[in-house]
Amino acid sequence: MTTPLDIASLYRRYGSMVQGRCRALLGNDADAQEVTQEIFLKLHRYRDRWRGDAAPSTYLFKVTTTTCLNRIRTRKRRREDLVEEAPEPPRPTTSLLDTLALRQLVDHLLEGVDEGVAAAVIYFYVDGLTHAEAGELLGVSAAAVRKRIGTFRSRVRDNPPDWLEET
Amino acid sequence: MKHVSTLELHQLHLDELPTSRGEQVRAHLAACARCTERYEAVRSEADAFDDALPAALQGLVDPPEPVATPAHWAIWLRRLAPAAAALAAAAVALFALPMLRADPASELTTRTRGELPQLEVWVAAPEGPRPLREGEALAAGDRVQLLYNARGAERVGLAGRDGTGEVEVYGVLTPPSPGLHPAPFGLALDDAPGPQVFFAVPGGPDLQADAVERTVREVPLPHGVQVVTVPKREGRR
Repeated sequence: MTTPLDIASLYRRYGSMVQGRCRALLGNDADAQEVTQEIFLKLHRYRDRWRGDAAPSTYLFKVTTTTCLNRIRTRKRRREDLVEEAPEPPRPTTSLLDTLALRQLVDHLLEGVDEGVAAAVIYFYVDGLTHAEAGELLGVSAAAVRKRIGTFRSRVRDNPPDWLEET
Repeated sequence: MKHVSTLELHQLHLDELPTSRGEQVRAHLAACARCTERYEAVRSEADAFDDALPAALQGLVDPPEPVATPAHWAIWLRRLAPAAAALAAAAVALFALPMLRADPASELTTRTRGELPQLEVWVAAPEGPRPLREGEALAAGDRVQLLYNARGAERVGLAGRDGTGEVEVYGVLTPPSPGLHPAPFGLALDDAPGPQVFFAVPGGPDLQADAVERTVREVPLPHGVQVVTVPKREGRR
């Protein structure tokens, strides 16, 4: 991508990817729309830092994941939000996990999982990225991704969700 | 071939995959019901997506001209022009009174280190945009607009820091003329704890975002940086 960043064009081209991913990870439309706007606002604010060394879709995919994980952590800090959350009807999903399994995974991510581990788990189990592909997005080696996923599996060892046993 | 990653499904839909990889992915889709279903979800999301820019992004389309600021702000500024004297008096009160308070974190405080520049925080209220009141706390979801007066500086960096210490540079602006100007963007406060601190950093023509970020992290702040500290309350607007 070249500067100046054309936010309107980026939004029209990648907005559905960002918002769909937000909805899948956050589980509701309201949060998804809010976080989508937040992501494009940040993209605009930090446009001077854009180096163009990754495709916009790859960059936005990564930023969306990180931003959604931050939002999930914020929810954890504010338990009242969780209580007020009303589940929305399941929809077709781009995830490798179905909607219920994805919600289970997000619940596990609320249990104090390190941010780097959480991102690796999302990329591997939800998005179907290989260890190497996930490592590229995370800026770490494939071995480091494998280790992070091992950390997550150890954490849920006593009460593994169904989908984990199938993968 | 293992299942196609979500990222590649999106890139296929956006026609951003290299030709050979695109062919591999299409061949996999033809044989894999699960990935076909996921790809259909990508397509249906794209079809259902309203690509009209949300209001929060409208002001970003034609920066950096301040006239690109949402019209209602400009309208309010024009309406307020006859009351400039009263506003100036209020601004003096805003800037001067907080310096006398014992607990600066408990209310809106503004302190000026030197003469440069001026920074005001306006908030979107049901009755229309208005300057933040003395002692008024903001909440997550509140929308604010920054107004700045470069007072001779060639560029001004606007930045914020939340209670966790995270710094964001909102923009580095070139004032179109002397005087007070609205920043060509609005801000929505997130769930981060307060207080929320806003900065206006003056600089020369080469001022960049990374320099602004470094400046606002300095302790003590360099001479000339304007600071507005706004307390935050629990809950959302």
